[in-house]
Amino acid sequence: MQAQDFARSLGAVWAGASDAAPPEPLDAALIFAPVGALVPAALRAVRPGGVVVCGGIHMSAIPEFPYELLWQERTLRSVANLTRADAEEFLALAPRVPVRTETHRFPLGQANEALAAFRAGRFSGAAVLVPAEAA
Amino acid sequence: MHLTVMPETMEAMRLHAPRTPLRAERVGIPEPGPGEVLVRVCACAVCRTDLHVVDGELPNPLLPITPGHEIVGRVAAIGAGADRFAEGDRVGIPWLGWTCGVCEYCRSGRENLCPLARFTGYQIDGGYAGFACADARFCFPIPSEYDDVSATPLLCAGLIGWRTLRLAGEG
Repeated sequence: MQAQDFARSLGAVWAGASDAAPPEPLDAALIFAPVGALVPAALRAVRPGGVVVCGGIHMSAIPEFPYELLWQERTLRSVANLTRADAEEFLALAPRVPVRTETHRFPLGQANEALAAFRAGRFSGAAVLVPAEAA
Repeated sequence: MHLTVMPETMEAMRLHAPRTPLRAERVGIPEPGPGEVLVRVCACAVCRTDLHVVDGELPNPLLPITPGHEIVGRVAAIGAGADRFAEGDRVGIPWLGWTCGVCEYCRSGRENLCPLARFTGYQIDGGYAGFACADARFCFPIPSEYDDVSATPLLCAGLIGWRTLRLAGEG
């Protein structure tokens, strides 16, 4: 619920649980969570001709699903890494949108604590490590 | 040649084996090789991919490794031929750390698929440290609108998010 509130606070017109149907069929669904079961759920949520993009580097196994979820020219694809052109485009675009980030500082020496807090979802946004020399 | 006084060692949080805590260590500051810059790390964000590295979910990591691939820092030294940047420049270092430059993917603007690609904080020591060396070709100026800490998530969450959104098409 905290993540859904966070999404709404950033301007999302709808936020819901991953097993909840969106209020209307989606043009596209972008998956960042490393959970393979979200792939058939996302295919179910997109309209005919829609696209599901898996943005993560690792995902648990995708469960079997009926062909009808992919049929009607839905597209399922992944993203691997980035190109330098992506970086140049995005870093020029980000301040114009503007893309805002929410961060939580940790001293570099507390990297294990930062990883654990991130894993447990104890905050919204990103943990950022700051070396002692730069603090 | 360094214009500022450089310490001899730095703080680093290093992974020695999957599923073990990072170890706080003092290690030597790396020397930038040809084409590389040495960056004094100002801030480095924690990414979900770091959890996959720590959990041993990605194949063939370099071990021990200093994780971290959302790095914002200042160029502290420049290796031979890395004159794209000057000492003191603020740069970002992302996940993609090196590609071969000659394969069909590299020659067609799809270096993200280079079979020899190496990645920051996974196969190249990353930003959970006081300093990091990086291939200058894969470092980027950071927009002045962002301070060091707030810019860090742009370098993976932002960048991969952008590529993911772009590949979804116009809808």
